[in-house]
Amino acid sequence: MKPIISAIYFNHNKSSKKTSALNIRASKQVESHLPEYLKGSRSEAVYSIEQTRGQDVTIEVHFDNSQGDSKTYEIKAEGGGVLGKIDPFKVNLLRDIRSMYINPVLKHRKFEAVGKYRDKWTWFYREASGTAWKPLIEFEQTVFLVLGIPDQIWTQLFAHNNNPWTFMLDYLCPIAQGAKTQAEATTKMLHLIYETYDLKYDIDIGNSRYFWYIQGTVDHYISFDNWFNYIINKSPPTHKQFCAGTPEQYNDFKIVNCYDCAGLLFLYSTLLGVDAKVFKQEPFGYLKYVYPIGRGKCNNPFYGCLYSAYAALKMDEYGRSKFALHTYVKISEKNNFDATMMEWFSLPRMALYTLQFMREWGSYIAARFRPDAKPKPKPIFAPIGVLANLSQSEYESRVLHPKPNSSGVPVYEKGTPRSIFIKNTHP
Amino acid sequence: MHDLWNEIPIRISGSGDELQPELLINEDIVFDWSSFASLKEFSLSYRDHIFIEDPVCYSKRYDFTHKDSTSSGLTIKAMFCYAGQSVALEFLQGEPNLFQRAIPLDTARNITEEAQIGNFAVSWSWRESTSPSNLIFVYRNLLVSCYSQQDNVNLLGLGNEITTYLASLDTSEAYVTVEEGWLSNCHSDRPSIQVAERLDLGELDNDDQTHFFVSGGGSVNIEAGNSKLYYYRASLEPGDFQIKHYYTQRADSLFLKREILDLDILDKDNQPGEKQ
Repeated sequence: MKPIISAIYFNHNKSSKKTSALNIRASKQVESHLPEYLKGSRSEAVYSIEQTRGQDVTIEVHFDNSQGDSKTYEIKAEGGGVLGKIDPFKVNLLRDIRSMYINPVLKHRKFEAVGKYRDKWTWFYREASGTAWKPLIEFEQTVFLVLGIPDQIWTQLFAHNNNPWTFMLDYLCPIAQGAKTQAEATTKMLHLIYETYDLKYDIDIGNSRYFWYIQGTVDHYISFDNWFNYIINKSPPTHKQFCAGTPEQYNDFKIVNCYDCAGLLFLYSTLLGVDAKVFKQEPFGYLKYVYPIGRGKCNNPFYGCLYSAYAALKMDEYGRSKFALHTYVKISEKNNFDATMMEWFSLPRMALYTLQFMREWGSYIAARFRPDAKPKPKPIFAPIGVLANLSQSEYESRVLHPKPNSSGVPVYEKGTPRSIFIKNTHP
Repeated sequence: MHDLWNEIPIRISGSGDELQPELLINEDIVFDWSSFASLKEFSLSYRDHIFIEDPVCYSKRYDFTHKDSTSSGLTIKAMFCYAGQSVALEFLQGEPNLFQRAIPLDTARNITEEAQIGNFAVSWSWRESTSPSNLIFVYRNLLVSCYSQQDNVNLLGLGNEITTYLASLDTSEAYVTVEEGWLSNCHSDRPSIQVAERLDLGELDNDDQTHFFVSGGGSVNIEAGNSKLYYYRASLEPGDFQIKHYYTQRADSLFLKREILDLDILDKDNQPGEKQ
């Protein structure tokens, strides 16, 4: 006779996220299966890297003893990838007890970087110490690793519609694969939004297609289901054209403003466990030369459907338009990440930037060959102009352009950034 | 923002002279756009909807295209606010804050009386034109906003027609929770379940009606593989909770009815099986 593993729980403690997997669901209205492994059927598990660090993370293995045997077995698991192997442990099946469980510790886990990991575990058993190990079961488990506990719009209250959705993790984790810091994960999400969806900025009135807002509160509502269907699933309705009949004609549902970009960056980053918030700055003011999402060089963002030649004007040109307000994401209420625009670089600045980056790499490589070398972070190549991980003052100096007041003194129109709260709407 | 927006808090607080006793629309709101004279050159090309849980609001967006010209479009958004007019006015105030382009204040006008639109209506234009490009108004507990990128839409006439239609609908001073509905059919008695347990609710028709749930102490879910079958999952917190079911009686209506199921969530017995 061999022992029967009837179920394995990864999320065995719905209240603690330090020693157990997170509360998750397949989507807003569809739950995930618990236990994650049940006699052959499987569902995913999600762990927070930060919360599990230094903890005894366990799983819960249930044994079926419906045949009423009284026997002692040793059990172990090999492989497991990020979950690691499981050291041998003993199970005493008692004649009168039909079902029992045990909590082995994931001592060899490698919870280091964000990602989607699909690894195989092979379980073995033996009846007494010293005898040969025999195969018991073999299965692949999908594990998602996120940096921290998804917060803000997401919650860990069990059975809540906003428990992290695995269909979104399945989409985002491979894109953020390998990210070890909040800045790294958020920058990857910023690139995803700015570069891959073929979105274009609303150069007519800067309107949002996916947001609602209640004045007098901080509550903003994003229609994430529409976003998912139209943009990620790539099935936007094609009937309505923005700037129809003009050179700027484009599918209206791919036209966005800062709320859409910041809201999405917030939604994605927080799901990956980043401590992100959306900040609104009102007034914002005149822009230096930037690339609004999907657009060319521009310091006059509302140039309209017919006047793309006026997108980039001289900096002192009379009557150029400005941002009445702007939203972006901050990590830990500090550094800024802006998915709505990129900074424009002149050729000399580009050359300078490249030289600077090469110098950083040079010093990184040189440091590795020194005998007393201390580990130094690898320089991250941020494509030129990306507005990621910048302090507030650095960010403003890159995008905002002061205008002379009546006395001729250049002043900024900028207001103080204030955090706003994003809620999801129902489909 | 412009002085016009400052009028709104007065209306919300009830101290405005023109404020009428607040009545709620109490009938299906179904826009038969083909009967609107202002839209005779347009055809409805797309619509979608969203539901906001807190405060409870249901919004539909209608996109129109001009019958003869692909270069003209019109979008109408209508939001039904279950909690009343004050919420609709708050959303009205919030609308201008979603534009990154500043509203040209010299074109913004309160056109409530002049054009006989809504209980409070504002229009403005992004273009150098006498006709507005945007119209936003509240009538009773409904918010309507209209936007056209072209000049060939009579937004004020449209707003007036929508107001006339809304004024023809029944009203009441408060909404009454439906006593006998789908939830009471599912559970005639007050159900009790243990924490983390499941309470089956039953099947719902999603074709002719639209359904939304706001639930305390857990969530209402759809059975994987059967999108008509609903059930409730309790959280880990014992106590008295409610499942609120909001629904439209017709798929094309904006008007929500509500029914409530009270339930008890009890502490759980010990986990089956023995720990080693």
